[in-house]
Amino acid sequence: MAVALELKKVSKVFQKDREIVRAVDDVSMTVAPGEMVTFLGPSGCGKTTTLRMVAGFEIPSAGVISIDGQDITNVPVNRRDIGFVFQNYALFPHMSVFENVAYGLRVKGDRGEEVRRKVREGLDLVGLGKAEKRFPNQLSGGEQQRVALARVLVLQPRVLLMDEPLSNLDAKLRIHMRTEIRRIQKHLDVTCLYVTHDQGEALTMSDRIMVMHGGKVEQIGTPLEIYSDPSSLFVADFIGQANILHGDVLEVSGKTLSIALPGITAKVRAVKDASFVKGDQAAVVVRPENLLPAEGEGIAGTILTATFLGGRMEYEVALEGGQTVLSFDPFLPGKRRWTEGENLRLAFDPAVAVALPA
Amino acid sequence: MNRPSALSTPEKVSPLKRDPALLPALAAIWISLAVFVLYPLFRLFLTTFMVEGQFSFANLGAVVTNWYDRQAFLNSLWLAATVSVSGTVLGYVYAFAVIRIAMPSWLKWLLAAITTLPLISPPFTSSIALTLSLGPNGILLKFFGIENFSFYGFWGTWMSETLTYFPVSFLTLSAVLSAIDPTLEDAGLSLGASPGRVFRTVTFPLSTPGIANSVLLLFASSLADFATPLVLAGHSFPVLPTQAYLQITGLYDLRGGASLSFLLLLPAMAVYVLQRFWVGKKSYVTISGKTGSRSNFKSKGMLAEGIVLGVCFFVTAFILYLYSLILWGALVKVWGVDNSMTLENFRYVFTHGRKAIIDTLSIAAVATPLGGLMAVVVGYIAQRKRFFGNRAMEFFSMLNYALPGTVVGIAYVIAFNERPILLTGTMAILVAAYMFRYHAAGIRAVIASLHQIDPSIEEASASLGAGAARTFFRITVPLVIPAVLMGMRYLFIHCMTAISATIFLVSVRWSLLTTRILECMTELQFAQACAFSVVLILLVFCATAVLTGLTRFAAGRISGQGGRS
Repeated sequence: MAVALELKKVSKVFQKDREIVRAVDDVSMTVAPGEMVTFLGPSGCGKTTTLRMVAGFEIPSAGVISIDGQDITNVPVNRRDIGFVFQNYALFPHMSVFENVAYGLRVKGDRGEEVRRKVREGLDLVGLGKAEKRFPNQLSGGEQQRVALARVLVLQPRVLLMDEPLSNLDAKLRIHMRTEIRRIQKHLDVTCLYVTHDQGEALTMSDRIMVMHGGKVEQIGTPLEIYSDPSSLFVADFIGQANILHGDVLEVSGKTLSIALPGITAKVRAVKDASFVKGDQAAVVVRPENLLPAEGEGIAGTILTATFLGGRMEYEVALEGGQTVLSFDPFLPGKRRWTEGENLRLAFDPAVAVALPA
Repeated sequence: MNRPSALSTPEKVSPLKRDPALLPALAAIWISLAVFVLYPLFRLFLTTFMVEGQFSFANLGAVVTNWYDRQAFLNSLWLAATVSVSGTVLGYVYAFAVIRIAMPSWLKWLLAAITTLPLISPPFTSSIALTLSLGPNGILLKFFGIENFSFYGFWGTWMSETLTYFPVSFLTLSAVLSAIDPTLEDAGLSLGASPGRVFRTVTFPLSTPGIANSVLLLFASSLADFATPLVLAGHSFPVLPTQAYLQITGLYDLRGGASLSFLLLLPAMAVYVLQRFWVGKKSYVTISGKTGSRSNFKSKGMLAEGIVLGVCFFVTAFILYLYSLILWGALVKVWGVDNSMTLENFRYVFTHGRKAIIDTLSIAAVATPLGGLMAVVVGYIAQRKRFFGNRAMEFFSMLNYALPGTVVGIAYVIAFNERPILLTGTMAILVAAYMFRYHAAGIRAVIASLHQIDPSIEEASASLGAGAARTFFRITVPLVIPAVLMGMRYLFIHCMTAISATIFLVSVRWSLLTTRILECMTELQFAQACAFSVVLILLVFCATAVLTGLTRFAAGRISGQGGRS
């Protein structure tokens, strides 16, 4: 049922104001049948262009795209059997919800009762069974989003492509729709590519994440791998929040490094595929929720700001070397709170930190 | 996320291959542009610059050294300059009154409606009425007891053209004025400036691009105007379009006429280029999707508003007076001699003028849908498809519109009077002349409306499996239909009322209402001229009402914001 998707050395070169722009640079990846892969990255990193090449809206300058082992690089969009959900929904404003959803079915040659049945099923799937007579401009953003989803799902596409589909919704609805989309995708067992610049979305929805930067792939991995084993400082900094502490490698024993940080020496795990020797510079990635105020030994600093967020305290701390770091301290009533200007020491659990080449 | 919109260089598949329907459409457009735009112009240049098989400035030289022709050139420029200034001033005053001054909405509607009258009337209307008022034995002259007043010449032409063309300026400027955010004026007032100072330092500077645009538009219109000077300028004030016409129809001097029209072409092209590449890019007006609370426009002071309103009401009353004069003129037996009422003139129109009515209507009925179709296809390709020659295609489709009608008419006469393309005397030549001249408005409207429609709507259709043709007819066309209908309305009005190009092309077999009006004027049959005008205005009015209704209906169906970004 579900199909595999493969990108082999795909590049896209634009000419913009006489300058050559490599929007997508030598991207290769394989998506397993039924898998949901998120393209994550900042604006202009090439994620949308990559998705549009898979859809067929753009033709790659180089490389091969195949679905289910079939080379589709030069197949026009309308013969690719994909479903594309647009950032702005792209509902046809002159057609009712029913007509919008029926559009693709009619193109395929379905008629009469069959169209009606499938449209109804599709709208029921997204929970909009009663809206079929309305027009797109009579729907809220979230409802339009669901119509756009139903419109592609009724066609049972081999690959579902979504381009920042939730970016126009408000925060609460966005979180609801995340789980909704993931539920439907799993239920239908359809291979799905999903573009977003929202790391929360990427982390919660995907089987795997492809982090892109400057047209290139930075890392491909499960959300857990990406978060705990970022392969570059860019990924570490882009996914979640990260404090990056620099220090010298004192000792290497297998995958564990002893690193001299200001105030403490920590035994930290080296990231996958990296090799260190004694005397190297290393960058230790410490998540703010792992960098906590400590009694006794630690990195000395001064509180710059202290913000109460309900579940936790957020401290911005200036270290002695001048670097500023973040510390998220879970808050419970009665627990000690630090205030601005106070001196403190920060410590972290080296087991959940990771060292990268600096 | 921003995608670079420029074309991608190493494209393996050309757009033509992806859209097989594109090729025949492109071929059809380019062939028709070549035949009806480029070829006539080419023949015009040949006639102007080739003497006995040699390139030569002799024809042009003859015209330039001729004192009378040189005077005509200078007169044309002078007239165009004065009309562009006076028309813009009047247009600004009107736009200011309608957009910026608090008055009952029916009054605003009335003012705006009156200004559309000159836009849908044949070009002679104000000339005829002014002649009846201020010409020899004019009723206004008699009323005020003025004698020895010569209305023919510069003053009459200037006045008539200002009245005819200021609505163009009004439309341009009211769009600009209503787009200026009133909070900017509020800001000026809150910083301590007086209303007058705010106008001088905020409102007026913000509307300068619109003013420049209006000046250029009116300059071009006046430069190209043929009908008004033909009736009102007389021998003492020759202008180029009429001079070229008389050269050809009076003296059968095709070379002289071609050279004169070439002289006319130079300033017209200059204005076109200026407008397209300079003013077109300058605009302070931004349309953001924000629908925040809009502040009301603040009063500019009683005196200023009083003057503005006074001018508006005076001009409006004068326009109404002119039009009622036409109606009255159509209903009396012999103007100025026997003022008893009669329907005889209308009987004349429906018997002797019957052929002209039917011919004009048939030509309009053929040209309008063809022009609409052309506008959709050209506008679509120009806005949505990217490949070599696209800009040129758009430019050439607008070219006949930018050229003065006289130039187009003379070029058509030269080009289509002999083999290989012999069209003189046919309906085709009239239809082509109208269509390639006035489909420009439709093309612009389609391009503007496609600009508003996000390409993702069409991509959505493709990703749902629809081919290019289905996407075009099921998605694109329904969405641009209001723009097309608007363009068709414009085309229809001009098919019914325009004369400058087609006066060279009428024949015994095909006559036009406008040329019949001109004949009546030259034979001093004022009553019949008035009756023809009334019938023509009513016909145009009915047709526009129908097309406007259709536009509203079509626009209402797709008024949604869904999917539009």
